Amino acid sequence: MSSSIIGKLEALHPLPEDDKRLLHAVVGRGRTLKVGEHIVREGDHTDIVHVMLEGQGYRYKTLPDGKRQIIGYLVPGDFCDLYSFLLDKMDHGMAARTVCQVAELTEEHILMLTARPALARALWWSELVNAAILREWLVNMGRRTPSARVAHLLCELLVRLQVVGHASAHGFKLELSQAELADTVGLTTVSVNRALQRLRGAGLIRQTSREITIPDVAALKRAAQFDPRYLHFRQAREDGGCV
Amino acid sequence: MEFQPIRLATGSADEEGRLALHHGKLIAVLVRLDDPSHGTSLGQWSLEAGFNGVDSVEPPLFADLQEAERWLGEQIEDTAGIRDSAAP
Repeated sequence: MSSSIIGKLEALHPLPEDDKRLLHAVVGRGRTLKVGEHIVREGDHTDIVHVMLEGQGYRYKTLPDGKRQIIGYLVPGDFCDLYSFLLDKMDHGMAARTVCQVAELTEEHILMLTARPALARALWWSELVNAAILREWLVNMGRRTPSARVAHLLCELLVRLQVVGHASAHGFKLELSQAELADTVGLTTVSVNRALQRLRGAGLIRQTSREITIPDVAALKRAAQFDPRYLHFRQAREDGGCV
Repeated sequence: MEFQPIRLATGSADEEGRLALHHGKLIAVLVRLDDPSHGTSLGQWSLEAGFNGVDSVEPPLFADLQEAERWLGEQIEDTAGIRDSAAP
C-alpha cells in the first residue's frame, strides 16, 4: 500500500531504506472511500493528513451559485493536505473521483517523518511540486486553446501516473466524465467534447469509456506545449527537460 | 429577437446554427448538437458564442429555439446582472 507514496517521493528525492520502512509502518492500509465521498470538505477543519494510496481524487472549490471548479487531481502517492492541520478551515475541498484508498496520518506522524532529513526534503519537494502544478494550471486555463488545455492535462496525468506505476508508456485508465473535464479546464461540456474530438481526429488520442491511449506521446506533448520540468521529477531534472 | 440560419464550422456534425439578433445586433451564435458524440444532449441547442453580457460560463442547453430566446432575453435584461450581483 505504501509503494505509491515511496514511488512518488523517491521520484523527487532519494530515500534511505530506513525511511521507506518508517513510511510503510506509518501509512498502514488506509481507509476506503466511495466515489464522490469527501476526503475533507471545504470549510471544515482537519487534524488528519490524508495520503492517496489507490484511486484518484480531486481538489475543488464551490461557487455561491453551485458551480464547481476542479483545481487539482490527486493520484496515488499524493499527500492531499500535508500541513492543513495548521488551518482553522480548509479553503478548498477534496473528494474521491474513483473508489480510493486513503491513508490517515496525524501531526505526530508528520513530525516523525520530517525529523528525517531525506524524508523532510522529499516532502518539501512534493509541496513545491503541488504549487508548481497549480501555476501550470493557471497558465493552462488562461493561455491555451481548448484542445491544448485538455491535451496538457492528459500529458500531466500520464507523467504523474507513470511515476507511481499506474500508467503504461502509452496510456492509462481514465474514467473521467466530460462534465468533470469541463469543470477542470473551465470550459463547457460542449467545448470539451469538441476538444476531445479534435484530439481524436488528429490521431493524438484514442479513447474508450475506461481508458485513454496516446499513440505518439511526443506528438501530444508538442500539441499541448507540455514541458514536464514543472513536475520536478528527478528523471526530468537529470535529463535536462523536454522529452 | 430574430434568428438567422447559418452554417457553423465546428469540426463536427454540429453545423446547423443560428445568429441571434437583438434590435439588429448580433448577441449570440447558437448551434444544434447533431454530432452523435453528444449522447443524451443530441438535438439540443447550445450557446456557441455570446456578446455584450450573454457570457455565462455554464450556459444551459435548450430544447428548442423558443427556450433559447427566453434565456437570451433574460441575459439581456440581466446585462446589469454584474451590478445586481455587486449589490450588497
